[in-house]
Amino acid sequence: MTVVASIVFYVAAAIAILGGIGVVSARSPMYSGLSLILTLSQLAVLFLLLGAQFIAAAQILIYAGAVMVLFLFVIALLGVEAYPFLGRHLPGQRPLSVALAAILLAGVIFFVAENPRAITGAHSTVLQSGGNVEVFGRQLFTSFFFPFELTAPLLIVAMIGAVALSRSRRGDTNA
Amino acid sequence: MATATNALGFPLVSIILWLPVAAGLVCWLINDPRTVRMIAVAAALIDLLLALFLLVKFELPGAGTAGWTFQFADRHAWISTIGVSYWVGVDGVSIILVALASLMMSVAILAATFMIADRQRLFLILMLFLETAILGVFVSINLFLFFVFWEAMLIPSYFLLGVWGEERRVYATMKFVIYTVLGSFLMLVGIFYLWSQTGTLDMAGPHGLVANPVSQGAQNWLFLAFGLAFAIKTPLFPFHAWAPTAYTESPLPFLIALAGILSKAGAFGFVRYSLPLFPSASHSWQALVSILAIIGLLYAAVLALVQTDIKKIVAYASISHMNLIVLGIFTLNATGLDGAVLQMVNHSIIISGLFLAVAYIFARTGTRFLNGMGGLGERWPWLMWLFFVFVLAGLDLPGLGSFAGEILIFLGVFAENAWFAVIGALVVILAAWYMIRFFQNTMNGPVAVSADEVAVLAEAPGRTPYQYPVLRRLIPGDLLPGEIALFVPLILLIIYIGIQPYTLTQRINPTMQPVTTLVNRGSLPGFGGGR
Amino acid sequence: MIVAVIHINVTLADWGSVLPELIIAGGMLLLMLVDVFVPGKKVNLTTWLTLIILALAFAASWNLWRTGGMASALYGTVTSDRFAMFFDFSILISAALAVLISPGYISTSAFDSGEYYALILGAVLGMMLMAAGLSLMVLFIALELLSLALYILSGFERFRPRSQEAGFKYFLLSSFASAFLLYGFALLYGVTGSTSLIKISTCLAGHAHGCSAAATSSPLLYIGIGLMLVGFAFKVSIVPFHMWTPDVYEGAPTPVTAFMSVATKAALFAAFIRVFSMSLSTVESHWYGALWALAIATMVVGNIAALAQSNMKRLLAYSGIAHAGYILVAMAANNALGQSAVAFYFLAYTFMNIGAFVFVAYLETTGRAGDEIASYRGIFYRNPALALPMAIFMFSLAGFPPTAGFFAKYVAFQAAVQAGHVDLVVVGVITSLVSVVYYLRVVAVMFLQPAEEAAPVEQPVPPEQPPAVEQVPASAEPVTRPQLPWNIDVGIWTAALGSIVLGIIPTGLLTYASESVTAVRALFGLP
Repeated sequence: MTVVASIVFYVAAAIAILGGIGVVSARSPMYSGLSLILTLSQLAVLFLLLGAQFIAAAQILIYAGAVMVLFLFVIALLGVEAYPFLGRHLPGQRPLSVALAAILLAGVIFFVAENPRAITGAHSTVLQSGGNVEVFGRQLFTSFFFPFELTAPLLIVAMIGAVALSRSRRGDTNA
Repeated sequence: MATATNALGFPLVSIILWLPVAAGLVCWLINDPRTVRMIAVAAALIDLLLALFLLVKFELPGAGTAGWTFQFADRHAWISTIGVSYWVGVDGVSIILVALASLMMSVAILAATFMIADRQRLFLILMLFLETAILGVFVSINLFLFFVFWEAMLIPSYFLLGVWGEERRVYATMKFVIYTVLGSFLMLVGIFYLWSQTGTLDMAGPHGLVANPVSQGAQNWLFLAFGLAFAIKTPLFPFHAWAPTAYTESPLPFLIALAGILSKAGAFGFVRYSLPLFPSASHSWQALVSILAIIGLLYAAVLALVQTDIKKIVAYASISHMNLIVLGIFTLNATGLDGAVLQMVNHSIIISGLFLAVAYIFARTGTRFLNGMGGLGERWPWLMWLFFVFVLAGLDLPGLGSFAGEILIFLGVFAENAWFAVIGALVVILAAWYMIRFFQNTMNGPVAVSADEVAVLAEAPGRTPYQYPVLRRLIPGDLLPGEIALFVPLILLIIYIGIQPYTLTQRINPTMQPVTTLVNRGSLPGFGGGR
Repeated sequence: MIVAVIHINVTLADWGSVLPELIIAGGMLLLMLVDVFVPGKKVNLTTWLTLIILALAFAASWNLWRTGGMASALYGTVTSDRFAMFFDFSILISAALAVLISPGYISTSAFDSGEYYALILGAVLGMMLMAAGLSLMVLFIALELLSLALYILSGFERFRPRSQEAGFKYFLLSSFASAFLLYGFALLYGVTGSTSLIKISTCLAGHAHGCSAAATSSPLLYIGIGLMLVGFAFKVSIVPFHMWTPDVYEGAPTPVTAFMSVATKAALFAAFIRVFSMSLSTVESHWYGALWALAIATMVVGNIAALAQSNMKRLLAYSGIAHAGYILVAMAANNALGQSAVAFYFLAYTFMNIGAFVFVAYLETTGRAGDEIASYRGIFYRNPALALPMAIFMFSLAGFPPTAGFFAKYVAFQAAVQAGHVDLVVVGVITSLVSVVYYLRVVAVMFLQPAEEAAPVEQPVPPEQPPAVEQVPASAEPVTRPQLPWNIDVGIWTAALGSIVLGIIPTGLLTYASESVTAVRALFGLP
């Protein structure tokens, strides 16, 4: 790893951790959500460092972009103040979350210990053949060309369904 | 080994088999009731003539050519991957049953033309379908084909009994169907197993089932699976519970088919399939089946003795005699088997005649109960005398049909087990008793109720005097010509068989000989060459 | 600068092998256009258009059958082998029959016909792809496609709470099942390193590079198989994953129920066979036990629960569950005969089951509660042309010769006996016996109980009317033979004829079924 890359890694990792702390410690759900976006965006940077450009982009677009924005909308629309029970903790929530986090950490440590190659950066075939996005694109337009195309009728059916079910009166179009 | 030949070079058996269905389909397209009647009757009669032609043409094996031979065979590939072929032909037993079936179905269809007024066209169509199914049971040489026809009998029967039956027809129909299906579905498992063991379902031929018996352990189970189906259909005690209700609720033309022919399909199943396919199992189960048959024939005879409903008297008489036939079959010797097959013919004729007489009495008195009868003979002498012939035949008077059959059966039983013969022979006394009681209480004695006094019930539209519920419109006088015409062929046949049973036994015996050899030695020596 | 050029290696022949699917997809778009640009009522137009599209797809399928199709096309993601085509026949016929009986329903329920038919075609597209998919990706997207269309179709009568409930219930439970299936697919991919069914099978047979030698004993494989089994079982309503079926069948619009009761199962079973009996055939021991237990539970529960039903659509739902059990028996045989039995079974099932739904659908359009069995009383005496075919369907479903149902069941059970699974067959035969009771009860209500005995509940006699007058019309009423609408007539008699003909001369179609199985087995290198 180059020096620059190292610096970028440590900065991004630190911000990601800070974001994570923010999620659990913020008083307002709005801040929690924003912190989560921060974490996710920094994870995207880490993916970039690993050469996984596509996953990085997907991370930004889908998680930070679509999913979290939806979260924030919901939080804003509901207005947490109107639902005081949302601030309360579930019984045993705190120890449980600590336990789960510990399990996750143990898992990661175990994985790393078993497969040191996974973090020493020995480049996989994917990276050698010209980068993540390109391989992905190749796959998408060759091996998975047909399933990819098939999502088109899937979306059309979903659209027709949405229209059909949301129409308010019966026999609208025939009138 | 069983072989199959066709001396005619012409698939006459197939024609006999499919003619009724073809006629039924034609009837479906025609709306004019007269034309429909004509077509149905003509088809039944033509079938009868063709069957008689076969009976005459049936080649009697000489001394050198003995063996189990299917004649007039007709074979086509059907679904070879699962051992299924279309293969029909007749042996000495089935040729007689084919002729018998086509005769009884002719009588039944003729009866239907004036006894059934309600939806007559559909009734006739179903009767024609039923005829094909019954004939198919008798002529199949492939086990699958046999099963298809066996099950197919049930569908027209369901409607014939259920739509045109009497008051408790729904109950009777469901009971009949469930009993029958219970038996046949287990037989189906047996058929699957046979196929998985032998890879064929053909009966005859060097690779057929007869030539390749399954292991002894398997035989015991298969015998039960097949035997239950046959026992229910026959009906053998204690699987007979469906029969009294079904017989009592049936409309008469269907009853002739049901008691006259369908029950023979069960007995035929024992003769054709249980014995030759599972010879060693037949021996293992022989005693049990014989005891059941003896209990059944005495039990049903006693029940016949105490009935007040005349239709039930005949129903139990029929069950009693069918058990006697099973007893004859399970002597496993040629004498008993000859007698059993001969008795199938006699039983069919006599029971049909007695049921006809019941229907005639009902159409004149509006009741089926003995307490409403008595002295009918004085009023209607034709009815009395013709009825009397069947009563005599029913109590085995020498010189009439059933005498020879019963003697052969009891000789066969005696050879196997003298005690069985002695106990079984008690039925002769009981049969005489209930027959005479039946006759006395209806025809002789004081006049109980005059026709004018019969309770008048609501007249149901589209019903004839033969159909429940009772009509105001009873038949006033003695037997009509049409009614006599149904009796005549039956009576002639009773007398003919009484005098000349040899005509039948000379065809039955050459088939029964190899079957008994097969059963008693486990294989058929000397017939390996085939033709 | 390096310019990476991707050569998309798709030829015209590739497209040709999905021509039936393309026709359906194009038809779906065409229907939407017609819906927008043609003014006024257009039920007839759209119905005919849909039928023509289905017929064209059928012709294309037939052509692929004739030429044998392509073993694998579009980078090995789909196939147009005879197995897929054979199931396409079932799917297309059932869709056509369902479309044929829809107009009456559309007009009584004021559907929008364009969207309705477009969704039907969407479901057909998904089903055909399901039968043709050679890749887990295609299978999953096809599954979503058909499920999504069916969710909406089930709830299409938006103003009837029953229909809403059906749609919602189906959506919730079925998407759950989709997730199970997807997890199973993912684990299978994780173990074998491929989404291609053929590569998976070579990997598990131990012939592939880059595939772990321990793949066949990996616990992930067991979990994956379990999850997939749950997913498939859910979609084809196998006990204990069947609970949604009666509610959805009862609530959904009847033509939709008819369609989904047959075509969905056909498509899913085709994929089920492709994944389990073909791709995972080398690890049969992993899943045979589960399949055995599912088959027995399905036959027993389906048949016994059906006994208690008084609603025809619910009865048919449970009967469908029971039939899924018989089909599982054939599948458990895991031999060529068993698989061709499954293929044949669906063709037979198409006719007899949809026929029964045609009957229900017609009665519903006459303004009666068409799915209450009690209301069928004496229908034979009022309308024999309707009752006779229904009797044929019931006898066929119960498995009486000479009907298609008998034959299908016969071959299915025989295959199982051939494979040595006599236990399954004994249970199958005994439960079939139970089924005779409830099927023939329907016939008994129609035929054995004359209408004259049924008191006309819906028309109470006014008190001022003398009672003598009311008795007369009950029996003396001239028998009016109501003329069936032509589409019902065609639908019901096509189905009846199919149910009979397949029972008498099944030879040709059975040969086709076994040819189709030969094709798919060859694809996976099975004898």
